[in-house]
Amino acid sequence: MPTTTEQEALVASLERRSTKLARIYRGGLAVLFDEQNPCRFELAAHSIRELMEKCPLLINGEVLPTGDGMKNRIAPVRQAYLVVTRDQGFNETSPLEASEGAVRAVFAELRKFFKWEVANRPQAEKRTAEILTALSGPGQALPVDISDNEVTRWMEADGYFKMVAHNRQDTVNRDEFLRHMAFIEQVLLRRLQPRAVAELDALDALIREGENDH
Amino acid sequence: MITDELVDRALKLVAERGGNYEYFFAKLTSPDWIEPLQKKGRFLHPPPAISDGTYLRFPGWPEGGYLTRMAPIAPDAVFGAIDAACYDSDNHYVHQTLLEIAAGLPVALAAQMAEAEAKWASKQTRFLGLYKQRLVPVILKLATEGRSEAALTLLKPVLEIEAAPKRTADPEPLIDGRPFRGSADPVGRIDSWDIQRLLSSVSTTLTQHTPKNFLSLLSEKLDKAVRIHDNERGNSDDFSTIWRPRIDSGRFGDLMDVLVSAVRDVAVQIAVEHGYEAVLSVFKKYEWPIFQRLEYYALSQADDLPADFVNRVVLQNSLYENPTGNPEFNDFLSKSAGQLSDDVREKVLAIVDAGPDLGRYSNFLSAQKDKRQEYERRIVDRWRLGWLSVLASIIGKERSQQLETLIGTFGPARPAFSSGGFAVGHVASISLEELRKLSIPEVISYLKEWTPGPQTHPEMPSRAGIGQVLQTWVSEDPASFSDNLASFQLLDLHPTYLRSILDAFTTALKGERQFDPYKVAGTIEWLLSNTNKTGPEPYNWDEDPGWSWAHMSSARFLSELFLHADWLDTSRHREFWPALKLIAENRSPSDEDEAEYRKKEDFGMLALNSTRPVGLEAVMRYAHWLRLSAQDLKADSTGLPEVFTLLAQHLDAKADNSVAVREMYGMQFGLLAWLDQSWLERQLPALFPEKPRVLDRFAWNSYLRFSRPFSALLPAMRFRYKRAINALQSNETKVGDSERSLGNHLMQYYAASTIELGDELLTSFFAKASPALKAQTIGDIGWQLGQEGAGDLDSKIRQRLMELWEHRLAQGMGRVSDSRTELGGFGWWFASKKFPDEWSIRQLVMVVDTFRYISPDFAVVERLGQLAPAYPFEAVHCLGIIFEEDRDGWAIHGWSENPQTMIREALKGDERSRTEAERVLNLFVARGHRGFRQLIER
Repeated sequence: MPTTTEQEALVASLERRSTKLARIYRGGLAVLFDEQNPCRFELAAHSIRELMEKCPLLINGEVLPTGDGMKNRIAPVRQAYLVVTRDQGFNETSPLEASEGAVRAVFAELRKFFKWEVANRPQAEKRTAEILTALSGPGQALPVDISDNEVTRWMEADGYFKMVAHNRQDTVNRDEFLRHMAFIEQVLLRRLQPRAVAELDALDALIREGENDH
Repeated sequence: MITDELVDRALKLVAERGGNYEYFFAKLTSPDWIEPLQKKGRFLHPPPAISDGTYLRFPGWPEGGYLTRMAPIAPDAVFGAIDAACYDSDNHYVHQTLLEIAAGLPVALAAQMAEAEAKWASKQTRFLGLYKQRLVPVILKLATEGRSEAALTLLKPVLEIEAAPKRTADPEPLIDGRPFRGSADPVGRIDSWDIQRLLSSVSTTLTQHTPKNFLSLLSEKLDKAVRIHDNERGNSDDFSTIWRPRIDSGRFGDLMDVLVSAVRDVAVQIAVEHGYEAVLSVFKKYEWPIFQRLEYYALSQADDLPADFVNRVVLQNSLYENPTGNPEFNDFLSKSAGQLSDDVREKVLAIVDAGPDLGRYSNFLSAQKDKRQEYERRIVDRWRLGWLSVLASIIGKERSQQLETLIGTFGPARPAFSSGGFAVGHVASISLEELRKLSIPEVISYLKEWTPGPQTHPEMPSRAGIGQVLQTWVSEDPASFSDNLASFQLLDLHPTYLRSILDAFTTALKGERQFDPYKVAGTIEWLLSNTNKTGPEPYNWDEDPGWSWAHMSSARFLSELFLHADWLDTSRHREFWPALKLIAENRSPSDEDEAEYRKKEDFGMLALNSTRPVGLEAVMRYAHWLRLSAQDLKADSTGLPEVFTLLAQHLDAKADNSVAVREMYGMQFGLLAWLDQSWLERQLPALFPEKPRVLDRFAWNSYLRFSRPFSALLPAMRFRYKRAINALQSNETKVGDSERSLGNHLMQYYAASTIELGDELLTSFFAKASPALKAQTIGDIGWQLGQEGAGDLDSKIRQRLMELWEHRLAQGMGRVSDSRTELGGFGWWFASKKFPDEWSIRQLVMVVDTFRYISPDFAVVERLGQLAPAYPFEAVHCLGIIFEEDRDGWAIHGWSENPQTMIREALKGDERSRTEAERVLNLFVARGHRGFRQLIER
């Protein structure tokens, strides 16, 4: 599968601003289009996630890993899990009574973790919105409902690529993968290489068409 | 035909970028879009305010702009499109737009919008942006089209008043066991200036259409402001004659003042157009004296008041309690007096004849004991003076005589209004003309004998005033005074006079009137020999506190003298030495001054304002004069040993540990080097000692700030430069003046080939300096080269600077983020035009491509515009990056037409240039600079 014109344009735009990001993206494309590679989706997903995470580089901003602190936050859960499984030999078929206290401890840690994750998500969305706005540059911002929708879709794509990259899907749906990828590419491309003149021309034509009777 | 499909296509484009969103709604001319856009929910999402913690931004509302334009064309559709959520927006721009829409709608719809908007407004504590201006057309529309109440509802929240926060959290002090409350400050939700502007726009119309309600609204606000000002002191007096002496003219433009003026104007308009009764019925609710004053002011402006009414008013005894309590009643009475009937006039005069109610003064009078009667008479007379003055036109002959007598005793009645400030200067007991008539002995005799009286007033005659007159006289005739100067060498003559005379001679040195400087020097010698013991001299406004001021004037005279070689004869140079030697030993600055100064270090201020450092400067200038003028004298340390020995002595910390003296040496470093370089080299360890560090620091900083680098001295000075470089902090974010000068010195040594790129001074400087200091150092080179009058750049220096730049660039390429700020300073080099175009633009491309930063953008863009015809691709390419990196979007406003020039040139160029130009042009258009769209053929 060859790269699309938009993908080539995005590579060029990234190259102008950050050779590092261009390299990450080009690497992702290369592995995605390597039909012989059995892990191509997983590896490409990893690249796309890196690209999304490191977008602040395009605006000389600070790169914060998405899910900031995830490793730290999951550590107590893991520790509680190891106590149950390794220290107490608990498994799917073990009677619950003997390890009830340790199992409850795992649940308690999980509850804390999920609580944190819910609280952290709006921060991630806010950060994403700020980055996308900064990438657009100064001037009129998008309407709030449209930009909210864009952020939501960005977050969905992020979650999707995370899942694929970590092999949490038995099979990856190619079309679904490309749909998420195309969305991310479009969001970046329309900011890095706007086609503003053509779009305003198109708007003029639409307005003329609509107001012809007047 | 506007179909759903068409709207969908349009909204898809709108969602692409904010610029499209703005453009689409700005271009729509038909109201037919409203309904389909409303169906898509497009009017439900006014943009919220944006806060980043340090500032608030209120983004524009493109849909609102469209609705504003459509309001007069399709009012019902527009009104129906505005969702209730819009009125809850936290974006003040949205509310401004809602007001604009309301102004374009029929009054019934506008009134509904006004009611909804007022609900939001009543919850606000401040109104930002143009909100108050946008109110005006809506209020005027509502008022003139029969919805005055809606107009007042909209106006009311903006006029809301509250108490300003207390200035201190401390509890109120207790006086006689009761808390003492000062006045509080009422504050509005818009500035008082804006309240004044707003009311001046709507008052006349609102008064015409809803006079009583409008006056009530304003009076309610004034009452609240006065209550806040009163601060619950429980006193029925508002002290308005202090903060508003006259109703007819305001004073400070503060909130109370603005409200009084607004109430006044409305009350007068009502009294004139609608009758006085409405004014009285509103004001009667309020008890503050300011309302009574406003009432009488309004009445005095109204014509044809019924005689019965006027009679009733002027015969109210209570109004005559205090002749200064209600100046506006006095005016009213004075104006009405001539029209009163005879019997009313007699009754009024009878009130005056009866005198004041002394019961009001009972406490005071009881305290006067045996003087009670005298004070009673004084109170009655003053009271009567006030009222007879007001009624002067009707009091008749007998009472007029009585009035004249009272004026003779007490002076005219106190004017009710006074304002303004005054300045005071020194005042002399004798004029210049009178002084000139005296002989010198008579002058001295007068100066000795005159003694100032008690300084009870700032404008009492003083010695400083006489000194100023004397100074003027000496300036006019310095020769005569220098001939007679010995006569003033008197210890019992106040120091102010000799100091004034010396100051006059210093000024005269710069003029053309000749005098004998040797005689002045002789007097200085006498002065310094006989008055050297001075104790503490606390500052005194009226005269010199001792002899120290005269010493400073002596130092200034001598320092100035040796800059005027024409006045001097080198063969007589030794005549100056005694005075110079003495002034160089003066005790000023004092230890206290030194200790205080060491805490702050203030750009040589102590050196320039203390006697000994200025005296040493005079010594250095003395040598300078001789070096230039004395043909038969070698003015160095061998030819003038007394001079250089004296100068060396003051570098011995045991003999002189003044930092101010060190500062003077640092300032005059170049002069000393010129006088005798080898002598100075021998002094360097003493001038910049290892210990005490404070002497080194003051000398060094003064040297850096006031002296240029001297290549010949660098070998001897190297130790000190190294010390300064070692002290640099690589994490410092600010650049101090001394550090900046250090960088500049090193660059000048390099440019002059005194040091090379590999020199330890340069390598260690760039290794230890902070990014900010490196950026300043690199930028300063270009900045200095680009200054008007910088002249042509020597080709050898140019080549060396280019090598320096390439060296720094090569170093920086390996550490992009660390070097960004430093190498961005190349912008000044580029803008200076002192380097080959080809080289300059190649370097610029490398810098902006690699570091994506260049400073200053405006100068770089201007130069790029000039180079665009020859380098179209490079120019437009750099422009694009500079534009992309301007995160705030302000920079372009300083670029003039240069971006257009660059894009045009590139569009005329080869394919690469054209492609780049189109890319950059799209960037500009995408950020809302839609005028650039015209540059491209479509």
